Amino acid sequence: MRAAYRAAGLGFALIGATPAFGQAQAPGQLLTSGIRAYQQLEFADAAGLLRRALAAPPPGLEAASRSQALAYLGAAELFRNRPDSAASVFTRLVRSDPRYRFDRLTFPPEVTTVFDAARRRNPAAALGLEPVRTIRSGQPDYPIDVFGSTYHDARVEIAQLDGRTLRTVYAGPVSDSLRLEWDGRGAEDEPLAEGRYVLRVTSLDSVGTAARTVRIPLDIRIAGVDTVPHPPPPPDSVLLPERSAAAPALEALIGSLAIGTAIAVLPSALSSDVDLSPTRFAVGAAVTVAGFSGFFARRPGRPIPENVAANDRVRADWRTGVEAVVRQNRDRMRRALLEVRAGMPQIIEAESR
Amino acid sequence: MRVTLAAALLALSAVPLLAQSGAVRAVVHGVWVTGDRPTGARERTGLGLGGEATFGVGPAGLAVGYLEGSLDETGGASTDFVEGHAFFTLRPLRWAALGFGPHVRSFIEPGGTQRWLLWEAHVQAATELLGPTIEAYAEGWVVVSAEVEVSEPFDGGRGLEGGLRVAVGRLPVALRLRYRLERLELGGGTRRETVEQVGLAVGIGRR
Repeated sequence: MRAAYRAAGLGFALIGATPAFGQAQAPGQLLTSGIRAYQQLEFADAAGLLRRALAAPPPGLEAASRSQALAYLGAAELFRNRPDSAASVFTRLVRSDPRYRFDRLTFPPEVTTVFDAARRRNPAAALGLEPVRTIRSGQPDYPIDVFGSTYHDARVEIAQLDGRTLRTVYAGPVSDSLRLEWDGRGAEDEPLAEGRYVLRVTSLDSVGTAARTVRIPLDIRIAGVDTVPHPPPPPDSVLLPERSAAAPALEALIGSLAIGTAIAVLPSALSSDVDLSPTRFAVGAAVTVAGFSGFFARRPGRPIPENVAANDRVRADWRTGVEAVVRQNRDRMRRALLEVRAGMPQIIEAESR
Repeated sequence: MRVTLAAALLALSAVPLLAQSGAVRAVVHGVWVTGDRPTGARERTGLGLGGEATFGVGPAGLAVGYLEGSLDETGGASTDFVEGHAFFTLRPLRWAALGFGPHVRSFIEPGGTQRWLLWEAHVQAATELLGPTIEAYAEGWVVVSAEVEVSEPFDGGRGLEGGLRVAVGRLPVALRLRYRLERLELGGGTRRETVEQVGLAVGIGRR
């Protein structure tokens, strides 16, 4: 029985000693323990705990806690006399959170000095955007907060998804922070159509080469615009027939044949006992010939130039109306309400770095 | 009679000025008059000149006409003739018209004047051959009552007319070519009078 308890106790002890058991600690607890170890000057323990906190699988630490973990880790490495490792950690910190600044009451100058050097080596910018904001196109209502890791030059651009720049919102120096106002316009000050675009911030190094780019997708939707509908095209009832129909031509032909025949034949039937004048045949023939002329002049399918011209005038008037509405709507579109939704940022570091 | 008809025609010709639509025309007619009677046939031919006027308000209208001329008879004396008409017309459809009224004709011969007074009912149909520019028409009528100064009693009469109306360009001038035939029967079929006319009219106004 005692042997059985011993075996069970050994089993529990082995389970507790496995790495999986240790990693089951929450990243936040590891961070807290790491900071506590740092404060107790146990820098090796602190570094180990903090590295484990940073290496936690997703979701891992929140952004602010991650920055804090990197800061303490870099400081711990520095105090472990591992300056290269500290510099590397601070570089990670600058790149992941350009806004981060050390609390100079908490960390001694030898730490902040190394961190400041890392900031200077790694110009980076972060963006602050409202997740969803409705602006009126043409009004500089969309705030873009740019936070720099250090004083450096940057470009803020609106671009197509394929990378083509539509609008350069700002190009110039960025220090701690900079607020820009975008007006919802794209190339040549034209309003952007609905769709997905990219807000791109490129940090430049001292020689003007792109060191780092942050891309934030922007989904733009027209939230409200009081455009005028296009005038409808002229209905068929307004347009004149451009080709002659069969009915008038046939009416001319049949009518003239009937009347011409009547003039030629009916007098004989009415006065069969009288030798009538042959002039009736001439008149009947004249009517028939006129009917044939009318038939060929109005033969089915023949273009009717005057109607074509009249219809062209009607269509031209309609096109003029449409163009006027298009101009009017374009002007209204320039003042449309745009709903701008910002997506998750994507960071692209220069390959050489 | 002739003076009365001419005066009436002139007076009526002024009425189109007050009407919504109307026309005034000068006419020249070739005339053939054939009388077939128990004593033998009599054929006379000649030329007549005259005028016509029509005017209307809405579908209703009035048509008047006057024609006078001379008829020659082979081996006989020439005969003057005068005729006129005044028909009230109604055009219920664009292509159809009705008419009713008196038609008078006088033959002035050395032996006296022979007068015909015919009350006629007409119906006319027309069709456009080339838009409103050229129109063909046919007309038929019956004599519903007559006073004819001949010894035979009047039995009945019919007639027909057909021709072309042509508008000259965009002017208000119109031409009319017509053929008409009248047939009267008198004396129980023993006497037949046939009047044949071929005419050309030139005037202002279309109808």
